[in-house]
Amino acid sequence: MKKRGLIRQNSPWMEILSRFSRNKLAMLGAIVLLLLILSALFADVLAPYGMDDQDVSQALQGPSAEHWFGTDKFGRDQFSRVLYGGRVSLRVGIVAVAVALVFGGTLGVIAGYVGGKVDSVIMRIMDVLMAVPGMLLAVAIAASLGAGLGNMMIAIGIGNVPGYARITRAAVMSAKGNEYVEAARATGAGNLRIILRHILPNAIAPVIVQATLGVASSITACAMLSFLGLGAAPPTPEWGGMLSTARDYLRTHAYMAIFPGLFIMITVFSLNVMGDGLRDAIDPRLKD
Amino acid sequence: MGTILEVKNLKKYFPTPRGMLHAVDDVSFSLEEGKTLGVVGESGCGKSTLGRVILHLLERTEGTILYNGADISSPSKQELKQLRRQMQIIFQDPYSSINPRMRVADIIGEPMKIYKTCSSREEYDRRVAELMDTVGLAQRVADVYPHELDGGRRQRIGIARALSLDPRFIVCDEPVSALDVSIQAQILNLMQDLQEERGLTYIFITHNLSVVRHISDDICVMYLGKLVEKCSAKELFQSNLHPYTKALLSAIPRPKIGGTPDRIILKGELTSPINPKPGCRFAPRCLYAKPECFQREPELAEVRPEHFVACHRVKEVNGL
Amino acid sequence: MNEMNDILLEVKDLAIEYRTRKSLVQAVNGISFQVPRGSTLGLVGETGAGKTTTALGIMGLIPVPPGKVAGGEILFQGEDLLQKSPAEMRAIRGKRISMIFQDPMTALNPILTVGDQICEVIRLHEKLSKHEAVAKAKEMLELVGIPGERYGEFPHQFSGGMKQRVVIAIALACSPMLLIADEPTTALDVTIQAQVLLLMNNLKKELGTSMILITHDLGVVAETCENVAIMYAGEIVEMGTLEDIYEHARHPYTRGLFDSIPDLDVEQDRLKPIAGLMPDPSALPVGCSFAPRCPYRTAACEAAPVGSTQLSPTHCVRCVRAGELAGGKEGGQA
Repeated sequence: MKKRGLIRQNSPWMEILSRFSRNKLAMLGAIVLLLLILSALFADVLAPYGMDDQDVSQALQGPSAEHWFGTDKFGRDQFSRVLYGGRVSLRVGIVAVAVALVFGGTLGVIAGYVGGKVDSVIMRIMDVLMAVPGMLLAVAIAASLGAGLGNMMIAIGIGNVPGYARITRAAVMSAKGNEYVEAARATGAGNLRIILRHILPNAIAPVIVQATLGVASSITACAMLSFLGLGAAPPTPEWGGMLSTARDYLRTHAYMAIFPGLFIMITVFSLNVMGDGLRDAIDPRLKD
Repeated sequence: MGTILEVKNLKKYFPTPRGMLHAVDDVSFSLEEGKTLGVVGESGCGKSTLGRVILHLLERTEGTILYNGADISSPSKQELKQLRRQMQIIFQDPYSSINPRMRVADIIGEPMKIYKTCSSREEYDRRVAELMDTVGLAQRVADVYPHELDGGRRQRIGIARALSLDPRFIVCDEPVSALDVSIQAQILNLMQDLQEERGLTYIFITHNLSVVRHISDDICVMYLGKLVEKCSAKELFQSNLHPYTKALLSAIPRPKIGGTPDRIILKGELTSPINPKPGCRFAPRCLYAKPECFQREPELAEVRPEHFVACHRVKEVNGL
Repeated sequence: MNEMNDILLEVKDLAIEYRTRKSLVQAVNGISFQVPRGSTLGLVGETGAGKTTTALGIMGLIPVPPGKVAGGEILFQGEDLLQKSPAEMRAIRGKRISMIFQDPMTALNPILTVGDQICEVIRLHEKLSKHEAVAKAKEMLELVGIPGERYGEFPHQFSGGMKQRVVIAIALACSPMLLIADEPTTALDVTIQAQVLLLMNNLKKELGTSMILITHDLGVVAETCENVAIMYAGEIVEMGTLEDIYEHARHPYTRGLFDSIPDLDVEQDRLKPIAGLMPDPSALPVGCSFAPRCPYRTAACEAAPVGSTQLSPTHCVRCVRAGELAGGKEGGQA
């Protein structure tokens, strides 16, 4: 028996990665996202000006060779502020999703694995939370905690908890039904081992996809809260906050809104195509 | 050798919105060490539930389970963990019964990690390699993920996993039903060899009567949660007594020209196991049913030495 | 039986392949067979032998891509189905050739009543009024042993065996000349299988339908088929009448299959399985594809492809040593 390919150690995760890498649009999204993250991380190297360097003589200048994205009413370089703003926006997106993932994921695992009454109680609470529109909930939480970056991340995160709880619960329940879980129990494995070794690795894929898409929606939510004045405190630049400031100059200095808006759009778009690509790579059947 | 397992009046009911589902209803049998008990029946007869209740993968509703004479009906967590070293299970579906995200060697070795049976990494590796040899898996697949393997080899992984703790008793739940015939024969031979070498005791659950005849010493026939006939494999195929067993045996197409005996075609299909009516569960489909069969449930009675049948009309039907 | 007008279906050198990103899988590898009018051919083989692919090829249902009919002819009543347009094939499917799939649980649409599903096929192919079609659908239900009153019930109200009867009723609704049944009883319990086999045998006699029965169960074949083709790795390795195959099997694979089945009526100590596994369909051996598992292999078996040998007008086998391995299936085994 010359069975080729038997010795290859293709793990299921490697296969997902290789399918993902064949999806051109998703790869483009991933590369753009990587560039955005790098540009935010190295903002102090890349940015020609500081994030709060004011030069009133240069106020409200359109895009030029010195100021690629123009300047605002304090004469701050918009390009530099967009780069620095990426730090905040991307961080908010990621941290908010992490908050939602930790709480929602844990609740979902407990509900899905234990089942019965525990499941009913957790999921009814989630239903109540879900009944409130996510954005409204975030606004309410942010307003009651007070403005500020940290509070905003918590607010957006909590608003997303029910969604992650639901997805995780469904994935855990479907993984739990497999015979290998019963086999593990028959060999005396404890609950923790069953969850960590047998259920989570087989349930995590759809949650990862949801999280990728969730970062995008959190960035939008963050922009929205900042726009409402509930986000980062000035002078910290943040894409949504910059849009909010640009509101007053929309008719005369549209570029002030266009560039931060464009960055939000590009980020959200990259994350979305990446999330879609990831979903297709994880479950290739969905595609054909 | 002595009795390793004894089951008395075992019941497993599941509550459903439409009433109590009687999956296993008042089943009793005992099993000698080193022997194979075949449990046959069609889908929904409760045979898989029976196996799982014995292993405490499902909790019984009523009844007693004795293992080596000790009552294991409601073990403590600690007792259960120790029991599971000795009682294992092999599953039907070689695809869903092994974790796709673990490598072959990790799947086989996991039980040994749980019980910390190996004192060193070297010993663990050696044991895994031995187990792979025992079940006929090439060492080169040790680091492979299961999705690259066919059903037969996946089933070998399931067998190696079950053997890893050196159990004495294994519930085999349709272990060859999902396999092609040529592979099925390989696995059946492997299981027979293992039994001989290690003195294993099997409960072999299946719907395939030719397989069960081949591998079993004794056979229980189940219908809708009830044992309807119990005797040695030889006796069951030569002089079966219950009308259901007769119909079941005659229904199997033989791979020979003109090999099939006169077929008894049963009326209708399985009735519901939810809130079963009083009387014999097989009566609605039985060719010999009389009014009394619908009123009173027949007891499992020893009609011949070591041959038990639950049928009111067994004497008339068989001219005894 | 060799007269042309007695042959309903003739498949010649049919080859079907699937191309994936990494490899080319030759699922069906130049197979030829005939189905005479009114007879049943059993297509027997294990998983991956190419049985279902052959059936889908005849139905014109190979998914393209990744699949592709790479060559051959499928002559149905003398016309090559491979030359037909998709529209022509649609008119043939369900009307002149129909197919029963393995799993009755998923073959029916859960949100339509069983009657409407039969009705739909009838109205698709026959010019009947709604009223006439309903009457015919009820007739079909009765024919497969389901009371006509159950016309308005949904699939979930039927058990597995009853669903398979409905599937059979749909397949036979337009009186097809050829019925392809892909493992029609595999998902059913044996007592229910017995009922369905009886029904199919009776209907076949009554309606004179020709049939291709795809199965891995040699017992089912013995009860339903006149002719048998044994498939292995995309090829027909042996073909003949029921008697040729069951009493005078020559191919080592055919014999191995029979030996692998535990006998219900005789006690055996040990089974004689076929060693090894099916070859990788994307890397078939140069010579006989069964050679790596064959106890009788010689250098000649592995050197070059093995042609088909005609042993009698009805019996052919693809084996270099067919001549030496004569004698009944018992004889050559020692």
